[in-house]
Amino acid sequence: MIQFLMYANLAIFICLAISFTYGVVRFFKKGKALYLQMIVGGLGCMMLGRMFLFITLLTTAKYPEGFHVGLLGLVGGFLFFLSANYGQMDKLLDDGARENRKYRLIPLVAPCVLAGIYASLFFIPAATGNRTIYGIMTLIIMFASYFNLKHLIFPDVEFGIIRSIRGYNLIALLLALFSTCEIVLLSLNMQIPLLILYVAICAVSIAIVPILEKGVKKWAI
Amino acid sequence: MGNINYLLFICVAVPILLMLFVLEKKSKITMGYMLIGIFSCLFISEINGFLLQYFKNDVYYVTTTITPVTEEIIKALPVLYFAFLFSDKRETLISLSIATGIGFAVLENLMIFMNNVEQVNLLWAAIRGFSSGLMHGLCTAAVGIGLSFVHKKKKLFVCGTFALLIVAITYHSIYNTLIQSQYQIVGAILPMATYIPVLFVAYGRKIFKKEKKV
Repeated sequence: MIQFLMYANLAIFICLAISFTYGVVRFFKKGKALYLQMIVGGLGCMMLGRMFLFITLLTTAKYPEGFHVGLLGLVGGFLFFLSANYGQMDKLLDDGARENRKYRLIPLVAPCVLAGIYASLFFIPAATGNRTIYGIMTLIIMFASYFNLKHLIFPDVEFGIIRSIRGYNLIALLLALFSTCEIVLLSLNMQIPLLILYVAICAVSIAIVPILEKGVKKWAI
Repeated sequence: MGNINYLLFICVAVPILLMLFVLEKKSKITMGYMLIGIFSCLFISEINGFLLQYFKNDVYYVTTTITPVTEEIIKALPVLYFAFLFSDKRETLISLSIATGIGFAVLENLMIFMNNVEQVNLLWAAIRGFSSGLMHGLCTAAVGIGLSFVHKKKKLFVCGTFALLIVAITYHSIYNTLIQSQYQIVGAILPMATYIPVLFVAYGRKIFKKEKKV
């Protein structure tokens, strides 16, 4: 299991490193939106978290128990996503008008689903790991997922700013879902479902920046 | 003899403190923050001592998981104070952050040197000098970038600064994990491998700005 986790984290680290490097090259230029740079920052943070896990597994041959910095990398990544959507994009989108109320309520589905996945840990006696720490992690992912779903369904504002990045929001939402599932599957030590999940995380990690780039190209048009 | 850490602090900090009175304003602030970094190191050495006792002297766990968190938070606080009260100009905050980080690393290197004086050699000094100092500077600089949004974009400041603090903590942990493993050399190279591209990008932007002005 340790070897499997080590190579899985290495694979995700490589995918995130490719995405991060590509994002830095494409978006860290003068005149590029801070929103894009923050998403790339989030990927960088996740990349560091995976790197920490890989190095820890490589040097100690033990999966760190309880609180560890690898978890912080994931939290930081989703905080960047949250910060980009809540701090940068949401104010352009939602002026608090009453007619948009349903678009503020429907996205609550995303955090509820993630909370449900996390809550399953309490009903499975075989689950191991620190539930409090996983709970705090899931909470941050839940906040980020709310804004991803909100921006996925919100009616478009002028110039099609939000419509063009719906693909990105969908991918980020999937990443949130997979990351929460990873917490549960790791607690249950389920190798085959974890393998499928890690392949999915790799695919999502590598796709996120090109999809975002494809969307933001329409901003200039 | 008293606590050696306090003696080292006096030896390093007092000359810098005396120099502050003759410096011009900008240099005074930068050197002042270096001094604050040195003091932060002394302060955190006491806290780390308590933490080590709390975690039953598990040095590996404390140095790879706990001290990166405490050290990065303590180093960020003086910069946060400056950003709130004086200026949130990005260039100034990055300079002060690096000064704090380097100041921290100076005393930390001396403390480690004094505790391992029998085993240290030129290679050790080179590794500590090039890697640890840079690592502390880079980590605090990352937080400084987030703090520059303190007055401009409040929503961005809270989440963004916390996210950048996490980047700094994770990077610090990776460094500490590598430097204590058989892959020590990778750990030693890591800060330099990060610093050179950052420097390249930063200078590239400055040159770009100058060309635009011309």
